[in-house]
Amino acid sequence: MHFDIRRDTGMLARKSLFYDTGDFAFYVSPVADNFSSVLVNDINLEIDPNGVVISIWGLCPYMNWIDAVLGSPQAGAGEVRFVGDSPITRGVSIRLNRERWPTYVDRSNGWIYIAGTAKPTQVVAIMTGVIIELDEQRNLCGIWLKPAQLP
Amino acid sequence: MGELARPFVKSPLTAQEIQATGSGVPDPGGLPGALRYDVPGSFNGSSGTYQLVVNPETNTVYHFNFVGGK
Repeated sequence: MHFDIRRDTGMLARKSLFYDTGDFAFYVSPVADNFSSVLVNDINLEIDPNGVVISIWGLCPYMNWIDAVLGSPQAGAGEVRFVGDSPITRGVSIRLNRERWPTYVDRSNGWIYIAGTAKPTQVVAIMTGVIIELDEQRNLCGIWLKPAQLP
Repeated sequence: MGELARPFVKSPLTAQEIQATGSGVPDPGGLPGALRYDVPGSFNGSSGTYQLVVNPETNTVYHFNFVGGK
């Protein structure tokens, strides 16, 4: 499995990322139709039947975040599509990581970074406040999130 | 979120059956007071694992997914 990137699809302005402190979870507004998802920790990259990542949501308890100086990531706009080894089944998620990836937060700029182990070679912003990193093999290796407000 | 593709999230019975396995462990994601269950099952013709994170004191569900594969 891997991910493909298509640049400059103009999706950036349409959606906003939020963090709900009561649910300890991220969500995107407006809510997208749902089909299935790719999971990193307990965060869902929601995908449509074609594998295109259309939203991000899910549990990510803020009390477990690690304070860090992250800087601000730079990424062009684009679309990310998951390409699985088998057809995507409605409601059946695909887990990417067995070991939990650490979650870092830079409270000076509002960015959160869920960090995999591989070195990123491609970076794309799929919506405002959501940046996806892929490694050389086009595996997902990091997620940057900047909700409207930090908890 | 995710209700349309994942009708089990609206099924208290499914959540109760998962909790009845007694296999909950303190949430490794770090949510205080929450238990996490990873229980084998099937959904939509696929085998996999039901993943449930719930606070047993308040019965609040924080995470409920079905993940394919072993």
